[in-house]
Amino acid sequence: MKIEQNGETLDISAINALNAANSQTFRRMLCGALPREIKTITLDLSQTQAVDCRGLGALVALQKCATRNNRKLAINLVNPSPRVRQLFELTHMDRAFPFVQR
Amino acid sequence: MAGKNFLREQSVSEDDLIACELVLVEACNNAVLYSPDQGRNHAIETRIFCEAELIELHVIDHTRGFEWPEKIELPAEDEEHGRGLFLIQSMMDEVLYLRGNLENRLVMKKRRTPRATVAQAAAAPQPSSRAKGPEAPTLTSSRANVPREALKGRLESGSQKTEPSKLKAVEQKLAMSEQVIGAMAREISFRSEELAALLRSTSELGRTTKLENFSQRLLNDLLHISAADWFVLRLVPRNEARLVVTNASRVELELPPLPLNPDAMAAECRAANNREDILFHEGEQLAEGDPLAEAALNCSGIIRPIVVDDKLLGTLALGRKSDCSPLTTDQIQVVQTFADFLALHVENSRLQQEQVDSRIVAHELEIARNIQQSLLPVKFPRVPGFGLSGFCLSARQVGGDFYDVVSLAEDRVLMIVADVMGKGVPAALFAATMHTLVRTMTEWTDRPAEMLARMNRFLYHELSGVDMFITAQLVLVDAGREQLTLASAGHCPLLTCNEAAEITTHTCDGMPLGILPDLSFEERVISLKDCRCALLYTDGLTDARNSHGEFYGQERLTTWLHEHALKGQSAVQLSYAFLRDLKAFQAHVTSPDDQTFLVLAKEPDEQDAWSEHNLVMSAG
Repeated sequence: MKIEQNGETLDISAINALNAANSQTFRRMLCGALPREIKTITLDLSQTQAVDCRGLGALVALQKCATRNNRKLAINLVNPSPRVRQLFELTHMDRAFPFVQR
Repeated sequence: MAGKNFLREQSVSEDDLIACELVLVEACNNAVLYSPDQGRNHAIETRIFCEAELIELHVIDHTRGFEWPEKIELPAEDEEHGRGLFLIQSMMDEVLYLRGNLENRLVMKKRRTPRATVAQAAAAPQPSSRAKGPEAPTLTSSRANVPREALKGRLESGSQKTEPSKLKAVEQKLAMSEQVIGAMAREISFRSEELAALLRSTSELGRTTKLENFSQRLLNDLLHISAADWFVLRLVPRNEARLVVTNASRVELELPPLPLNPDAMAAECRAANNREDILFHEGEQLAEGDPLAEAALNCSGIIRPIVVDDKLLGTLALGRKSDCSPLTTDQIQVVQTFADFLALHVENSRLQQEQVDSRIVAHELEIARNIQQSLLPVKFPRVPGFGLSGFCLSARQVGGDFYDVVSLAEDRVLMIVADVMGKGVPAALFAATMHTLVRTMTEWTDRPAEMLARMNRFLYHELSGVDMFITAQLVLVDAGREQLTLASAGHCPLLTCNEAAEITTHTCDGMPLGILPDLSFEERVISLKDCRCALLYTDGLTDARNSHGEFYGQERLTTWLHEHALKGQSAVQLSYAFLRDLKAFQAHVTSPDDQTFLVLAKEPDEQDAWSEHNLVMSAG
């Protein structure tokens, strides 16, 4: 996983999986040490093979964490695969985490 | 990955493949992450069946499982959990959750995408052996606890598509029925284990000598059946008011005894005093400081009083560590059944022990009775011109009355009749001591008063120590001088009858032995010249009652002697005659007191002067 800060945006890429195996690590890593100036997180899912409901839960947790700190945080999903997109759509999570095609 | 490759080999479309992979992941996640019990350590088994039109996925776990919700809805957007089942339900055409006894099976079915679509999507290499027909290939062996034929039947019915809603309802009913059957199978399995353990224990009844061994085996079975971790069995020892640990599953649970005060606060005492179960668990722990809570910290379980006919026998505490779930209703019922079964066995065991004890006591009493009988003289010494006869009847197996006749010289004997206050073993012990002491006294003196004074000094401490005393009458018969010398320690008077059939009552001053440390006794001398017979007796004779509650009494005794002393009978004949009269008076009323007498009577015939008769009877 690769993390880069560009101003108020945090770009996260090279995500192989966002599932039960790493969701806890993902949550801890971002919830605890998110810079205050960050207003947007972009998740590049183009290389992501596996996403499951635990991974979705981690994204929800990340957003709740920011809300608790009185911050507005947008999480955008960049270039998800059809399979990943299907999962977000099926669970209506695409409403909370909009897709961005680049 | 193996499953994915297998499905690819079956030419399953990419969409179906993605769906199958996703639901398998979600199902396995649930089995791993949402199973808090020990079953989590078991491997999760996945089976994939692929037919021409249907893919069937089985996920089998060995946890306690969970309640499949009637309606699965998508959680709110800000909820982190709860989307897995929704996903499974959404991506599959049919989902069945079969909850069994430590094995749960999630069956997920998906109708395959139509062939044309498959052909279009067949960018992946197509294996030559595509699955067709009823003998569909499976990734794993065909071993399946779910009735496979029944599933097939339902699937075939599903393909008819004539009444899909009706079919769906039927399938739902079927699924519910399978759940019910699963629960029943679980229940039967559970109860059969319980029954087997009880039957095994029942078969041990009568063979097991030690209650502790029996209860240990029974409670070990109970631990297994109820999936508990520990137990403590306390019993109330006979004639005690405390709970004492009899069996414990661990050494640290062998706790000190608990006094059974009405206001005792320990949970086991409260369960015992109130005759009520106490349930404890993570949310409602035992009070801090409770001996059980200290030993079995953070546990959930039950304390059940061991009771038979409201008689408290003990308590059974059983529990499991709180990281496991609390006892279920079924498990609590099993604990209650075992505790009640144990209560019956404890009671039976104690009754058996009491029987054994009473048999031992009876046997020992029989021995004591024989010893006491052996102390009575078998053969009386000769008194020239007179005969002797004695009788002793103990109200119990052993008694406090005794008589003896000791030869002092050729024409002198000492007659003794004594009555130790009380009955039974304590009285018998003093009677035996007295018997020995009298014989010892005759080595030092032949004066009855002196003998009594010495015996009192010897016996005072022992008698006063147990608040007992002895009445005794000593009569020295001197045939040569033709006189009787009498001394009495608070005993019944001596009765004599002369040739004119006149009865004389002779009393002497003297307190019973054991009342004061130093006593002196009056001594009187009576002429034998005119004496036809003399009677020494204990108050068991005069205190004998008939069915109307009337006493035999002193007057009736003197009257009887007056009427019979001159009838030319020997001492033995007189004794028998008197016993007949006494028996007739008492009829069937049993005397509560020992009855003893000693008769000295002039022999009508010199040949009968050697009397060797004594009449020894016992209530036993």
